[in-house]
Amino acid sequence: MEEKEIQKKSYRKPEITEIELRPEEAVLGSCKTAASAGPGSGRCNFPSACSSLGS
Amino acid sequence: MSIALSQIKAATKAKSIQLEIAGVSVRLIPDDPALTLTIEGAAREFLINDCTPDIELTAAWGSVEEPRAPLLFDSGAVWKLFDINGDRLFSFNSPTLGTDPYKLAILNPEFTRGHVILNSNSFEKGAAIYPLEYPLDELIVLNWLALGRGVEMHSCGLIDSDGRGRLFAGQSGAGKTTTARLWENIDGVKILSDDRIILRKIGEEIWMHGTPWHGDAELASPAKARLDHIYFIKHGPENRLAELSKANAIARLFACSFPPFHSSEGLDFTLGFMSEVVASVHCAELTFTPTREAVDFINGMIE
Repeated sequence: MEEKEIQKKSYRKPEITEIELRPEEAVLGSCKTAASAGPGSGRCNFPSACSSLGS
Repeated sequence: MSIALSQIKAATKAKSIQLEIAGVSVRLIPDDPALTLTIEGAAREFLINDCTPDIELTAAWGSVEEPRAPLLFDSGAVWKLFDINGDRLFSFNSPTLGTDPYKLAILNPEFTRGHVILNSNSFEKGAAIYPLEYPLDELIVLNWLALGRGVEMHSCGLIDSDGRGRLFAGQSGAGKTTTARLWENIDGVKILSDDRIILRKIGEEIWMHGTPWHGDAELASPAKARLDHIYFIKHGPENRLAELSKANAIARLFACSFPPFHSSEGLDFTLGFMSEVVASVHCAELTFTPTREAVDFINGMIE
């Protein structure tokens, strides 16, 4: 019985690790390259996520 | 505008084009004598000879307006997804082209059949068109994969000179293109993509496949390899490898993937698949310098 108690793992407080999720990348929201986002790609002036390249 | 997939007439196979990406074959057939298909860029490397496709799509010019249907998902950028009596309708808008969508694509729930309508007011008259232009081709393949078949990763994938499959995963700015450029001129190394890799299970093994959706290095190959190592990359002052718990590795895989957020079943599959990946493939965090020493460091880690 005593031996079993010695073998118990020591308590480790649970930790929260934050992993960043970038929604605009995960949903194919940003332009892939400067020349590939529809027929207007050459004139692209999207106001938000789509104005940046998502490589 | 009335749109129903069941009403679309059978189109001729003549002048069709066919691609295979990660073992998924896609046939695109013009359903309009005024439409000439073309294919551009890296997608040309993925052209195949005619065979029975997994996904068959037709395309035609048409009059297009904003769908009046339940919205399933809004990407916040060029595309939205609607529910049309169980079928799936992608609508593509650009503020530079007015308020009407420049393109619609309707697919059955299995993502095996579909039709693309190109807004004749949005494209150059008489120009040859690739109706699956990004991001439609990627969206169709992703959704087909999410039905229990595979997952696409934001990553650089390569086969090293010993034939090992190595995946370098990370979001924009993590160093995928840098990694591809460090490895690309090494004898015997083949880069599958510097930005998008598809993972699928073949037998009991996880394999990685190149895709046409490359990054700035414009490296894309239809080749595939068994996956041996996954590295979650980040730039740093020295080359260092840190082991990860399985939970941490799954979370990082998810953050570097393109999950179907509109589908609970698709999300369930994606997380389950990632659990299988982590159980069978070594995962670690790689801090690296943008030098050839990073390559030597990885090669020196070979067990």
